[in-house]
Amino acid sequence: MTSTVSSVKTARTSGGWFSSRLFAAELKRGWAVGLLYAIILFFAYPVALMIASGNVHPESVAHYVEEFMNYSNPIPTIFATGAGIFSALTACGYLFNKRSVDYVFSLPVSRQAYFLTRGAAGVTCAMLAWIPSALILMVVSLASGRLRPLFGLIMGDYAKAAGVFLCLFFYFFSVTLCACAVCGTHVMSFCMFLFFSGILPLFYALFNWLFGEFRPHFYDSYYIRLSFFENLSGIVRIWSRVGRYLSFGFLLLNVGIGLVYLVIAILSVMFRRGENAESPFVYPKVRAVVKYFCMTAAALLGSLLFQAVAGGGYFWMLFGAVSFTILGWMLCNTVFFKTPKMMFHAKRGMLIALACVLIVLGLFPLDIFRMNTRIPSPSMTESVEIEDYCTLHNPDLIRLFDTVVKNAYADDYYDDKPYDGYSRYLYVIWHTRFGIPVAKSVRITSESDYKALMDAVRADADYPSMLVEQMRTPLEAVYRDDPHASVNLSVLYSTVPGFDYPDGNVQDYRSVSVKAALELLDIYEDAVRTNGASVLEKRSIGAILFYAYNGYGYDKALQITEPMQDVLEAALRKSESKWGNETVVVNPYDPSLLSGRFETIKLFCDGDYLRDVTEEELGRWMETGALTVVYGYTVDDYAMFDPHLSLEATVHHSYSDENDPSAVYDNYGYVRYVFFAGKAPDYDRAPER
Amino acid sequence: MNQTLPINDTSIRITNVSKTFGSVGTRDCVKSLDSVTAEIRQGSIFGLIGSNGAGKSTLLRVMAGILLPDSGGVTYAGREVYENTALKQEIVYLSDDQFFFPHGTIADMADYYRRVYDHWSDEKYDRLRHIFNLEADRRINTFSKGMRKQASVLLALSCCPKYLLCDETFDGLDPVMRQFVKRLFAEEVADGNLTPIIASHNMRELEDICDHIGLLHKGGILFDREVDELKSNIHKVQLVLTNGTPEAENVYAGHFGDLPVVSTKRSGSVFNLVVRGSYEAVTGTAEALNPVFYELVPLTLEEIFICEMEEKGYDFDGFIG
Repeated sequence: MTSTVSSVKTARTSGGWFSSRLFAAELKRGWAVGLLYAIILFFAYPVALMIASGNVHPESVAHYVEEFMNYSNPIPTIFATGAGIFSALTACGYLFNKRSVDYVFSLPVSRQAYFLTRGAAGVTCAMLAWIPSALILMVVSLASGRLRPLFGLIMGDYAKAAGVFLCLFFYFFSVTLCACAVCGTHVMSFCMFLFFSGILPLFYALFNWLFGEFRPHFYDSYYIRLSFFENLSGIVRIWSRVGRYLSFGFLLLNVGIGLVYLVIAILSVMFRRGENAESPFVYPKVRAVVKYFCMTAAALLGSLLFQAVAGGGYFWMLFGAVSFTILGWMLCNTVFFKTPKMMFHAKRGMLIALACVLIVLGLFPLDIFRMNTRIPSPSMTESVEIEDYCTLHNPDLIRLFDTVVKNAYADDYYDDKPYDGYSRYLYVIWHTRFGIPVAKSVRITSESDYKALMDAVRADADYPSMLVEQMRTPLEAVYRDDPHASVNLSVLYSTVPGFDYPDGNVQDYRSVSVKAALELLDIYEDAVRTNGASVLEKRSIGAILFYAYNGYGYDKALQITEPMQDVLEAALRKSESKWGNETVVVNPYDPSLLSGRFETIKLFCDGDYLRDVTEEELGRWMETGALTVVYGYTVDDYAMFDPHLSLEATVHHSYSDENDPSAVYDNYGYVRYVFFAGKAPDYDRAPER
Repeated sequence: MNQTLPINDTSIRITNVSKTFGSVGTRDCVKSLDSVTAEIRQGSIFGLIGSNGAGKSTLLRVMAGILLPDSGGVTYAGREVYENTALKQEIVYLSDDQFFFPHGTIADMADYYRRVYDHWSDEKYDRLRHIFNLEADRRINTFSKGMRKQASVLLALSCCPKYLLCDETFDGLDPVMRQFVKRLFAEEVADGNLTPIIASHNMRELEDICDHIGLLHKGGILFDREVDELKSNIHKVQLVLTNGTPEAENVYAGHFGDLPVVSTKRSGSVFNLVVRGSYEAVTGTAEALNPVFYELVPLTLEEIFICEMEEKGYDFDGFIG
């Protein structure tokens, strides 16, 4: 027995960060995964392109290919997401098994080198998988008479797509890797991943869908923009500011975000002490943080769900928060301790979490989390308007409108909200922030307006009330039967379900209730019939705006079955078109057929919608001279109009560096949404009040 | 009392190693190793024995650099093992339930080891594989437990390690294969290439191979001796004494001259004693008692283990009832 030697400290060798021999071994082991990726990409690009392009009109092939390679092919997105998660889980799967941990940690490779090398092998597999697909795509493109002229375009877009989706892959890979390194079990890692990548809006949308109100608060570029994700992390927010400052694209931002998570993952693995090989978490404290993180998520989700079920109301939100905190606590305990016996463990922690959740919920109405408070100066905003208005002089008609307006505001969603007055415009687009209506469109016509608004914002004034005050004078004039007074009406029949703000605020685009919209149309009809165009100016309700953003999740077929369609049906007729070999009934609300009825007909649609339109129809629409086709999501996208289409001169959007109530930008500097001005042609000749 | 080991010290030194699992202060907290100190000479075969939960596997995992001890350290020739990849090239750890790649074959594993271990020997791998008669391309998860053990030994020895840490490695091997593996170890040791550290609770397995034994109990090391020394210092004595004589009463009362008696059993005039002391001292004392008959029976390692454990309060009778 030796008892004379105590602890001896010698210099540890770090063992480096990467092992090329291990890398080669891992690549060799991962060949099957790489092959799987290659097969998926083979079907995603060469096969899909070959099949789909055969069904497109020859003249549209170029346009189609461009969209297919850039936007409308969903497989690469799914692939990048799935492969990222799968590769990460594979790369760090060894951390979750005592036998493999013992084995790996006994190998002559440092922990970080092993972790990084395996990760690098996973990324490399995903990268290499693009090569065989590229070769096949090359052959397919050259072999196909249709695609041969587009060879350069196809291969160039494929290269771009590879870059884009590898960035996306890396993002999901890093997030999952981080979750795996911090957590100990696959289940928890997956939960963490879902949380990191902002799954809550998806749940919320799913819930809404189940209960018949599909208003998804995410959109299909959600995962690319990561808007929810950025709310979860101050680091990400800071990074996005840096990215905006340096004019990074969102892909580089994704990579940056991925790198941040990768660093966290590596640090977790490096400092993961040996004993934790047997326990799920790096540190007990982290376990607690993760647990309460999950509980808070569950509670907030619960509050939203209950509020949605109950149709609004603060009580149900609180009820959901409390009940889901308790459920989350029980579930977390069961998962973390791997036994339901520990379900009611650590009650004090649950109470603390509950208090935190309630505080967070309590802060919502105080608008603590509001971000978009900056109002741009008028010089920075070209013109952002929605008004397609009529000017009414007939007091009876005005009173009739008054009734309709009240009905419009008495939308079921806001029936418990008092109607707080008229505005100069009938805002049938109604914005909400956590259920509280907020008028967002501000018409700033002078420097004094702007200053007043800024002062009010700085003074934390009630924004909607201030707007009402601003509009009071003309309204009062109307009620005094002032013959010179007028009410300007803007009607937007919108099916765009809504958007989420970078700060997590949600804006609902509550279109005017269908009933109210129908009444408005009836009034118009009556007015024309009884008074003639001399009383009701021809510009009245000059435009019907069809929003056909399929990408927002609102099905086109659903739109045309709306009662609104019943009113328009008389002016429409069904049309059929050929799509490949299949006869498809499309576009019963072909805007060109309405051209004689209204002065301005506009169709706003995205690429998905556009592809359902035949060339013939497209040409007919264009002949009306009032067609606007819009697709894409960013200013750059809007600039990429099909060369055959033109952007109508009267339609323009604003673009400024500041967040703008009418054109809202995300933290990356992209326009989140734009209000288009659908001015009537003789807008500038509108009579003075 | 800190001192720096000389750099040319080739022994393995385990110095005041303590290891606790679970959060301190909670009921999940388990102190697995408690200031374990031992020295293992290069070129010896060290057997680590102990009861269930004594900390054998934990000690091996600390020695393999898998676990970082809470205090103390393990050095190989003066080099600390934790995260020391250069040193780990010389160490192979064989766990009780060795990890293999899912659906991997021996060839896959060999390829992996070949890339990871600098001293991998294809020649040794081929030779051992033929001796073990294991199919290189068969999935290891189709192997029996014993075959998996063979595979792990095959792969481990092919890495040509200087230190081989074995946790219950013989468990599951048939007697022939067990002897063969022992012989392999002995040959490697004889060539001066290997220092195996074998943890087991099967004393019989270690008895004929180990030249050094460390006994772990409740996280602490009870003793750490050479096997010959261990065996030569404790003896089982069968005595037949005439009933009623003072010598018989004395022995029955637990006295055997000046030598410490570990246990006494009496059946009529036949006494079975386990006594500590050298062979000469024990025989001398026995003869002094004028027995009708006496005989010294060598103790097996297992019996020594049981005796030592009983002395430390391990209640074997309690288990049996």
